[in-house]
Amino acid sequence: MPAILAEDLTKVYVLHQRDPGIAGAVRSLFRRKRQEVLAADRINVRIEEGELVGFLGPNGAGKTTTLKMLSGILYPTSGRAEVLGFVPWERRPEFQKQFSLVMGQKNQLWWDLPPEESFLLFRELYEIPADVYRQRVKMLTEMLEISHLMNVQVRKLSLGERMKCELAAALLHRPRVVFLDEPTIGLDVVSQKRIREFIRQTNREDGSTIVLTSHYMDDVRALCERVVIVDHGRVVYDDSLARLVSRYTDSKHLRLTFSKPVEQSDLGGLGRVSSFDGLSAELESPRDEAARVAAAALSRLPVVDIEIRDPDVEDVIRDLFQHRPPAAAPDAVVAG
Amino acid sequence: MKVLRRYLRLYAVFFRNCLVREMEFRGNFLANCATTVAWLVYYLFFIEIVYALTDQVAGWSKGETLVLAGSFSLSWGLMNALFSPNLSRLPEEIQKGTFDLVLTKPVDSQFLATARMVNLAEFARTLMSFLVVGYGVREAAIPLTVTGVAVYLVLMACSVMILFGIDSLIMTLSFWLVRIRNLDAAFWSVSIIARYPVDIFERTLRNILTFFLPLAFVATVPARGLARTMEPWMLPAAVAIAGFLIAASRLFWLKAARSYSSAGG
Repeated sequence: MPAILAEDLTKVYVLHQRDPGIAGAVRSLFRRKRQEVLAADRINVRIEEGELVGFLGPNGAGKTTTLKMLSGILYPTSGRAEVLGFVPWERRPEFQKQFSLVMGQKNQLWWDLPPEESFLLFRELYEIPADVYRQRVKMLTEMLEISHLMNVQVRKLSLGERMKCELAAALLHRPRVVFLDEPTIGLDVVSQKRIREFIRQTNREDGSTIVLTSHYMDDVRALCERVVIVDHGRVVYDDSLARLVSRYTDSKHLRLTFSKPVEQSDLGGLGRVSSFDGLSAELESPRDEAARVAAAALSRLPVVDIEIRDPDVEDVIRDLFQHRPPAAAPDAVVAG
Repeated sequence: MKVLRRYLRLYAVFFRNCLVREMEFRGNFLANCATTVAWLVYYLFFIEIVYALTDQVAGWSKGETLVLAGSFSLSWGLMNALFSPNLSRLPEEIQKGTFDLVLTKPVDSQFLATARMVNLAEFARTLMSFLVVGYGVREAAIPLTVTGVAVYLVLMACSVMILFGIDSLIMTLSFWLVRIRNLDAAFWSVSIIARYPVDIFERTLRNILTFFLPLAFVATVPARGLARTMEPWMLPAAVAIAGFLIAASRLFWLKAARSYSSAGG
């Protein structure tokens, strides 16, 4: 049995549009324009127990909507889903005790109380036995290096410290499935790194299944072997991160450094220029022409350094979102 | 039983957390206590002035009116202590989407959403209200019997349930309407009418307040119950209305939680 299974999961939001201004507001009292938004469009995903999967996609792609349906917060418009064998939106306590949802932008610790008080509340909510609780608090606070913060009011914590406490609270009951929605948003690099390590450790030590959404590619690169990319409510890619680059790109990036300033016009005929500042340039060229472009650049320009590489995952995903339809990516390029 | 114990334990934690928090802001807590008490004292002055001019208002003696004032304040105070802090937050939580997390917890969502905050300063009002009721009982020389007190306590429980039921029905609308502060405020302004005996109003309004928006059962009926001037149908009516409103608020909540559409992506 997969830990998470979604079949044709679809969510349509009904919005009521309103014209701007007071007249629009008055008009909308009597007649409202209905607008349907397809937030999730037949999402199909199957995630096995113990996997750590990244959900990627631009804002409004449907990642969070999907997570909310899998958490049972939202009823889908159609389709079905099972998480740990339960239908999430039935909101059965037996299910809710086995999963956890952390949203980087929504906190659940009591603002004016030290984290420990909220932890105790969670202990009651999830009916965690006293000894398990003690052990778990010790382990989580040590892993996240927050033991010394347990008696400080949450409002006095930094964003990074607070997020670590949020994570610890959400994992006290040792959930088998964890949804992390932007857990590192707004955090400094050090905190991000710490949290990343923690997520990996949790996945390994608890054997939990983790679905992570993040805007930071570093998170995804560091943690997820498999990524599911969602755009316009649809799954456009579901495979390993490593294969993403080779599957969707038929280009190479060339980085040139010059010994003396050159004009941009000198780069004519060398492919698409993605950045240029006189002393260095980034070029993009079709994969099979990269060698020719490099040779031409070396012979025509005062090149002191040249680097040829595959595009970054960021580049690939950005391209993917900028509507180079993935379906059009020729399979022949899968060569790697 | 096990379930009940669990919820009581949870409630104890909510209570404790609120207490810890209030102690954090002691000045604010004391100020709140003072405000709630002042509000009642102000009303007592009003009663003193009215009864300095007359012995009876629509059949109500001063002592009986004090019992009514105390009962209203008791019910209103309990509502403000236990439920209003939660219900009034609901629209904001729904608007911001923080309500999401309520729905993921392995505990009844209505319980979690309507019980987790307790406004302890309001208990100052509760305490004071008991004193006012006691003062009224003495003033009106109402004989206290076990049955009399028991009936009064049942009527007061109904009173709180009626206020809760109506306010909960209104606040649950925020699942669809999101911003309903005005509606809530309107209800609270209207409900203040309950601190006057409904008998002072003309017939139509009295009937509305008895059967349509049953605010007569918030203070008038309990006060009459204690003063033994209650008509026999009033006790079962109070229980039925309270039961109906609680059931309605429950069903409405379940429907709302189902159609929750969340916010923030």
